[in-house]
Amino acid sequence: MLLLLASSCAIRTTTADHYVGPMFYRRGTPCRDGADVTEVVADGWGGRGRSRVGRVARIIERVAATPRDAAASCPPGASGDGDRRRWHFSALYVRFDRREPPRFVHRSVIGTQAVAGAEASALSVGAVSATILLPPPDAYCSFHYDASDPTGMRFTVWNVRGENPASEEEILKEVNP
Amino acid sequence: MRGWQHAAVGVALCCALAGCAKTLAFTTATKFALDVSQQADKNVDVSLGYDRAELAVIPAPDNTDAGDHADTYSVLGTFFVHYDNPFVTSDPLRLNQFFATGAAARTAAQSPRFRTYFGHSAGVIEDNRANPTPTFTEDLNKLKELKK
Repeated sequence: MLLLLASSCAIRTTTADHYVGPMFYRRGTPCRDGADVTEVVADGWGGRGRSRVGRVARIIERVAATPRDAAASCPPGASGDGDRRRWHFSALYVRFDRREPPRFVHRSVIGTQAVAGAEASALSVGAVSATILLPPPDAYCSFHYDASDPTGMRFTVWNVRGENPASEEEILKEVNP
Repeated sequence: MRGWQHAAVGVALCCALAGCAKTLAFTTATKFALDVSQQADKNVDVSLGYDRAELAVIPAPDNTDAGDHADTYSVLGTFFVHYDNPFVTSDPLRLNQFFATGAAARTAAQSPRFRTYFGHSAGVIEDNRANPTPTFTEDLNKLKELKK
Protein backbone atom coordinates (compact mmCIF):
# COMPACT_ATOMS: atom_id res chain seq x y z
CA MET A 1 0.00 0.00 0.00
CA LEU A 2 2.83 2.38 0.83
CA LEU A 3 4.40 1.64 -2.51
CA LEU A 4 1.21 2.54 -4.31
CA LEU A 5 0.97 5.78 -2.36
CA ALA A 6 4.51 6.65 -3.45
CA SER A 7 3.59 6.37 -7.13
CA SER A 8 2.55 9.26 -9.28
CA CYS A 9 0.30 9.56 -12.27
CA ALA A 10 -0.79 12.27 -14.68
CA ILE A 11 -4.08 13.20 -16.31
CA ARG A 12 -3.86 15.59 -19.22
CA THR A 13 -6.50 17.66 -20.92
CA THR A 14 -6.05 20.09 -23.80
CA THR A 15 -5.39 23.02 -21.51
CA ALA A 16 -4.20 21.50 -18.23
CA ASP A 17 -2.00 18.78 -16.81
CA HIS A 18 -2.95 17.22 -13.49
CA TYR A 19 -0.31 15.35 -11.53
CA VAL A 20 -1.16 13.21 -8.53
CA GLY A 21 1.60 11.91 -6.32
CA PRO A 22 5.13 12.97 -5.49
CA MET A 23 7.05 14.73 -8.21
CA PHE A 24 9.58 17.43 -8.93
CA TYR A 25 8.83 20.15 -11.41
CA ARG A 26 9.98 23.48 -12.74
CA ARG A 27 8.38 25.86 -15.15
CA GLY A 28 9.55 28.58 -17.52
CA THR A 29 7.47 31.68 -18.12
CA PRO A 30 6.10 32.61 -21.53
CA CYS A 31 7.82 35.96 -21.83
CA ARG A 32 11.24 37.21 -22.72
CA ASP A 33 12.61 35.03 -25.44
CA GLY A 34 11.31 31.74 -24.13
CA ALA A 35 8.28 29.55 -24.38
CA ASP A 36 5.80 28.24 -21.85
CA VAL A 37 7.79 25.23 -20.65
CA THR A 38 7.03 22.67 -17.99
CA GLU A 39 9.51 20.01 -16.91
CA VAL A 40 8.34 17.24 -14.63
CA VAL A 41 10.36 14.44 -13.09
CA ALA A 42 8.47 11.74 -11.29
CA ASP A 43 9.57 8.46 -9.85
CA GLY A 44 7.75 5.84 -7.92
CA TRP A 45 6.96 2.26 -7.35
CA GLY A 46 4.16 0.24 -8.78
CA GLY A 47 2.82 -3.25 -8.42
CA ARG A 48 1.09 -5.16 -5.70
CA GLY A 49 3.88 -6.95 -3.91
CA ARG A 50 6.29 -9.77 -4.55
CA SER A 51 3.68 -12.46 -4.68
CA ARG A 52 1.77 -11.01 -7.59
CA VAL A 53 3.11 -8.76 -10.34
CA GLY A 54 6.33 -7.75 -8.63
CA ARG A 55 7.83 -4.40 -7.91
CA VAL A 56 8.87 -2.05 -10.62
CA ALA A 57 10.58 1.33 -10.39
CA ARG A 58 10.55 4.11 -12.89
CA ILE A 59 11.79 7.60 -13.55
CA ILE A 60 9.89 9.74 -16.03
CA GLU A 61 10.99 13.11 -17.29
CA ARG A 62 8.59 15.05 -19.46
CA VAL A 63 9.15 18.44 -21.01
CA ALA A 64 6.18 20.11 -22.68
CA ALA A 65 6.12 23.52 -24.28
CA THR A 66 3.77 25.86 -26.07
CA PRO A 67 5.36 28.48 -28.28
CA ARG A 68 5.53 32.17 -27.61
CA ASP A 69 3.36 34.12 -30.02
CA ALA A 70 5.63 36.84 -31.33
CA ALA A 71 2.66 39.16 -31.88
CA ALA A 72 1.32 38.79 -28.34
CA SER A 73 2.34 41.16 -25.61
CA CYS A 74 3.93 40.00 -22.41
CA PRO A 75 1.28 39.64 -19.65
CA PRO A 76 1.69 41.84 -16.58
CA GLY A 77 3.69 40.24 -13.82
CA ALA A 78 5.58 37.86 -16.04
CA SER A 79 9.09 37.73 -14.76
CA GLY A 80 10.96 36.30 -17.67
CA ASP A 81 13.31 33.57 -16.58
CA GLY A 82 13.08 34.35 -12.86
CA ASP A 83 13.20 30.88 -11.32
CA ARG A 84 12.91 28.64 -14.31
CA ARG A 85 15.91 26.59 -13.19
CA ARG A 86 14.62 26.12 -9.64
CA TRP A 87 13.06 22.78 -8.83
CA HIS A 88 9.89 22.51 -6.80
CA PHE A 89 8.42 19.50 -5.07
CA SER A 90 4.79 18.46 -4.97
CA ALA A 91 3.83 15.67 -2.61
CA LEU A 92 0.19 15.20 -3.51
CA TYR A 93 -1.23 17.20 -6.39
CA VAL A 94 -0.25 19.93 -8.80
CA ARG A 95 -1.91 21.36 -11.88
CA PHE A 96 -0.35 23.16 -14.81
CA ASP A 97 -2.63 25.28 -16.96
CA ARG A 98 -1.73 26.22 -20.48
CA ARG A 99 -3.50 28.25 -23.11
CA GLU A 100 -3.28 25.53 -25.77
CA PRO A 101 -2.03 21.95 -26.11
CA PRO A 102 1.77 21.69 -26.16
CA ARG A 103 3.43 21.72 -29.55
CA PHE A 104 6.62 20.21 -28.22
CA VAL A 105 6.91 17.18 -25.96
CA HIS A 106 10.04 15.35 -24.88
CA ARG A 107 9.68 12.23 -22.75
CA SER A 108 12.41 10.12 -21.20
CA VAL A 109 11.46 7.03 -19.26
CA ILE A 110 13.60 4.53 -17.41
CA GLY A 111 11.64 1.62 -16.08
CA THR A 112 8.08 0.91 -16.99
CA GLN A 113 5.40 3.14 -18.39
CA ALA A 114 1.84 2.69 -19.46
CA VAL A 115 0.50 5.66 -21.40
CA ALA A 116 -2.78 6.11 -23.21
CA GLY A 117 -4.06 9.24 -24.86
CA ALA A 118 -3.49 11.71 -27.64
CA GLU A 119 0.14 12.23 -26.73
CA ALA A 120 1.10 8.59 -26.60
CA SER A 121 -0.30 5.11 -26.45
CA ALA A 122 2.46 2.83 -25.35
CA LEU A 123 3.60 0.22 -22.89
CA SER A 124 7.35 -0.07 -22.43
CA VAL A 125 9.92 -1.66 -20.17
CA GLY A 126 13.44 -0.29 -20.39
CA ALA A 127 14.76 3.09 -21.48
CA VAL A 128 12.78 5.17 -23.97
CA SER A 129 13.40 8.76 -25.03
CA ALA A 130 11.09 10.37 -27.56
CA THR A 131 10.50 13.86 -28.89
CA ILE A 132 7.77 15.32 -31.04
CA LEU A 133 7.45 18.81 -32.46
CA LEU A 134 4.26 19.99 -34.16
CA PRO A 135 4.82 23.29 -36.00
CA PRO A 136 1.64 25.32 -36.41
CA PRO A 137 0.13 25.77 -39.86
CA ASP A 138 0.59 28.97 -41.86
CA ALA A 139 3.33 30.31 -39.65
CA TYR A 140 7.02 30.80 -39.21
CA CYS A 141 8.36 28.74 -36.32
CA SER A 142 11.76 29.08 -34.67
CA PHE A 143 12.77 26.39 -32.20
CA HIS A 144 15.93 25.99 -30.11
CA TYR A 145 16.03 23.23 -27.52
CA ASP A 146 18.86 21.95 -25.38
CA ALA A 147 18.00 19.00 -23.15
CA SER A 148 20.61 20.10 -20.64
CA ASP A 149 18.57 23.30 -20.08
CA PRO A 150 15.00 22.42 -21.04
CA THR A 151 13.26 25.40 -19.49
CA GLY A 152 15.57 27.75 -21.34
CA MET A 153 14.27 26.72 -24.73
CA ARG A 154 13.30 29.35 -27.28
CA PHE A 155 10.14 28.52 -29.20
CA THR A 156 8.58 31.36 -31.16
CA VAL A 157 5.81 31.47 -33.72
CA TRP A 158 4.90 34.21 -36.17
CA ASN A 159 1.47 33.66 -37.69
CA VAL A 160 1.02 35.09 -41.16
CA ARG A 161 -2.74 35.30 -40.68
CA GLY A 162 -2.36 37.94 -37.99
CA GLU A 163 -3.10 41.61 -38.48
CA ASN A 164 0.49 42.67 -37.91
CA PRO A 165 2.78 40.27 -39.71
CA ALA A 166 6.35 40.27 -38.46
CA SER A 167 9.13 41.67 -40.57
CA GLU A 168 11.58 39.33 -42.21
CA GLU A 169 14.37 41.01 -40.30
CA GLU A 170 12.72 40.26 -36.96
CA ILE A 171 12.22 36.62 -37.86
CA LEU A 172 15.75 36.09 -39.13
CA LYS A 173 17.11 37.82 -36.04
CA GLU A 174 15.38 35.21 -33.86
CA VAL A 175 16.48 32.35 -36.09
CA ASN A 176 20.12 33.44 -35.90
CA PRO A 177 20.44 35.03 -32.45
CA MET B 1 18.47 -1.46 -39.46
CA ARG B 2 17.30 -0.72 -42.98
CA GLY B 3 15.74 2.51 -44.07
CA TRP B 4 12.19 1.29 -44.39
CA GLN B 5 12.37 -0.14 -40.90
CA HIS B 6 13.54 3.22 -39.58
CA ALA B 7 10.67 4.88 -41.36
CA ALA B 8 8.20 2.36 -39.99
CA VAL B 9 9.48 2.92 -36.46
CA GLY B 10 9.25 6.66 -36.94
CA VAL B 11 5.75 6.55 -38.34
CA ALA B 12 4.69 4.28 -35.51
CA LEU B 13 6.20 6.68 -33.01
CA CYS B 14 4.61 9.67 -34.67
CA CYS B 15 1.24 7.98 -34.78
CA ALA B 16 1.57 6.97 -31.17
CA LEU B 17 2.50 10.47 -30.10
CA ALA B 18 0.35 12.53 -32.39
CA GLY B 19 -2.56 10.25 -33.10
CA CYS B 20 -1.85 10.50 -36.84
CA ALA B 21 -3.51 13.89 -36.96
CA LYS B 22 -3.17 15.68 -40.28
CA THR B 23 -0.46 17.98 -39.11
CA LEU B 24 3.21 18.48 -39.78
CA ALA B 25 5.30 16.58 -37.24
CA PHE B 26 8.97 16.02 -36.48
CA THR B 27 10.00 13.25 -34.16
CA THR B 28 13.09 11.67 -32.68
CA ALA B 29 13.27 8.54 -30.59
CA THR B 30 15.84 6.37 -28.87
CA LYS B 31 14.82 3.10 -27.28
CA PHE B 32 16.58 0.39 -25.38
CA ALA B 33 13.54 -1.43 -24.23
CA LEU B 34 10.66 -3.71 -24.85
CA ASP B 35 8.17 -1.27 -26.26
CA VAL B 36 4.62 -1.83 -27.40
CA SER B 37 2.92 1.11 -29.08
CA GLN B 38 -0.50 1.21 -30.63
CA GLN B 39 -0.92 3.19 -33.78
CA ALA B 40 -3.93 5.22 -34.74
CA ASP B 41 -4.90 2.57 -37.30
CA LYS B 42 -5.01 0.04 -34.43
CA ASN B 43 -1.90 -1.81 -35.53
CA VAL B 44 0.44 -2.64 -32.68
CA ASP B 45 4.15 -1.98 -33.09
CA VAL B 46 6.48 -4.06 -30.94
CA SER B 47 10.21 -3.42 -30.63
CA LEU B 48 12.78 -5.18 -28.48
CA GLY B 49 16.35 -3.96 -27.99
CA TYR B 50 18.00 -0.82 -29.32
CA ASP B 51 16.27 1.40 -31.84
CA ARG B 52 16.63 5.00 -32.95
CA ALA B 53 14.83 7.18 -35.45
CA GLU B 54 14.46 10.75 -36.65
CA LEU B 55 11.56 11.48 -38.90
CA ALA B 56 9.57 14.27 -40.50
CA VAL B 57 5.96 13.65 -41.42
CA ILE B 58 4.18 15.94 -43.87
CA PRO B 59 0.44 15.40 -44.26
CA ALA B 60 -1.02 14.71 -47.67
CA PRO B 61 -4.67 14.56 -48.69
CA ASP B 62 -6.01 11.21 -49.83
CA ASN B 63 -6.09 10.51 -53.55
CA THR B 64 -4.83 13.97 -54.47
CA ASP B 65 -1.69 14.66 -56.44
CA ALA B 66 0.23 17.90 -56.35
CA GLY B 67 -0.22 19.99 -59.47
CA ASP B 68 0.88 23.29 -60.92
CA HIS B 69 -1.44 25.23 -58.66
CA ALA B 70 -2.07 22.78 -55.83
CA ASP B 71 0.65 21.71 -53.48
CA THR B 72 0.35 18.90 -50.97
CA TYR B 73 1.61 20.99 -48.08
CA SER B 74 4.14 23.79 -48.39
CA VAL B 75 7.06 23.57 -45.97
CA LEU B 76 10.43 25.27 -45.89
CA GLY B 77 12.67 24.37 -43.02
CA THR B 78 16.07 23.80 -41.55
CA PHE B 79 16.48 20.93 -39.13
CA PHE B 80 19.49 20.37 -36.88
CA VAL B 81 19.62 17.48 -34.42
CA HIS B 82 22.46 16.56 -32.10
CA TYR B 83 21.66 13.28 -30.42
CA ASP B 84 23.67 11.34 -27.87
CA ASN B 85 22.83 8.67 -25.35
CA PRO B 86 20.10 10.47 -23.37
CA PHE B 87 20.71 8.47 -20.21
CA VAL B 88 24.46 8.90 -19.69
CA THR B 89 25.66 12.06 -21.43
CA SER B 90 25.51 15.69 -20.35
CA ASP B 91 24.58 16.78 -23.87
CA PRO B 92 21.81 14.37 -24.78
CA LEU B 93 19.73 16.30 -27.27
CA ARG B 94 19.87 19.60 -29.07
CA LEU B 95 17.34 20.70 -31.64
CA ASN B 96 17.60 23.85 -33.71
CA GLN B 97 14.85 24.24 -36.25
CA PHE B 98 13.23 26.89 -38.32
CA PHE B 99 10.09 26.21 -40.32
CA ALA B 100 7.80 28.11 -42.57
CA THR B 101 4.57 26.24 -43.14
CA GLY B 102 1.60 26.70 -45.43
CA ALA B 103 1.05 30.30 -46.50
CA ALA B 104 4.23 31.37 -44.69
CA ALA B 105 6.26 28.92 -46.75
CA ARG B 106 4.77 30.20 -49.97
CA THR B 107 5.56 33.76 -48.92
CA ALA B 108 9.09 32.85 -47.88
CA ALA B 109 9.71 31.10 -51.16
CA GLN B 110 9.17 34.41 -52.95
CA SER B 111 11.29 36.44 -50.54
CA PRO B 112 14.89 37.06 -51.62
CA ARG B 113 16.11 37.16 -48.02
CA PHE B 114 14.48 33.91 -47.04
CA ARG B 115 15.59 32.30 -50.28
CA THR B 116 19.13 33.36 -49.48
CA TYR B 117 18.82 32.05 -45.94
CA PHE B 118 17.43 28.67 -46.90
CA GLY B 119 19.81 28.39 -49.83
CA HIS B 120 22.79 29.10 -47.62
CA SER B 121 21.51 26.66 -44.97
CA ALA B 122 21.22 23.99 -47.61
CA GLY B 123 24.80 24.74 -48.62
CA VAL B 124 25.97 24.33 -45.02
CA ILE B 125 24.21 20.98 -44.83
CA GLU B 126 25.80 19.88 -48.08
CA ASP B 127 29.21 20.97 -46.82
CA ASN B 128 28.70 18.92 -43.68
CA ARG B 129 27.75 15.93 -45.73
CA ALA B 130 30.90 16.21 -47.81
CA ASN B 131 33.11 17.08 -44.85
CA PRO B 132 31.53 16.02 -41.54
CA THR B 133 34.18 17.63 -39.33
CA PRO B 134 32.73 21.17 -38.94
CA THR B 135 30.95 21.67 -35.66
CA PHE B 136 27.57 23.19 -35.16
CA THR B 137 29.21 26.33 -33.78
CA GLU B 138 31.07 26.79 -37.01
CA ASP B 139 27.82 26.36 -38.89
CA LEU B 140 26.20 29.02 -36.76
CA ASN B 141 29.08 31.37 -37.47
CA LYS B 142 28.57 30.84 -41.18
CA LEU B 143 24.93 31.71 -40.84
CA LYS B 144 25.77 34.80 -38.80
CA GLU B 145 28.09 35.92 -41.55
CA LEU B 146 25.13 35.64 -43.88
CA LYS B 147 23.21 38.12 -41.74
CA LYS B 148 25.95 40.68 -42.13
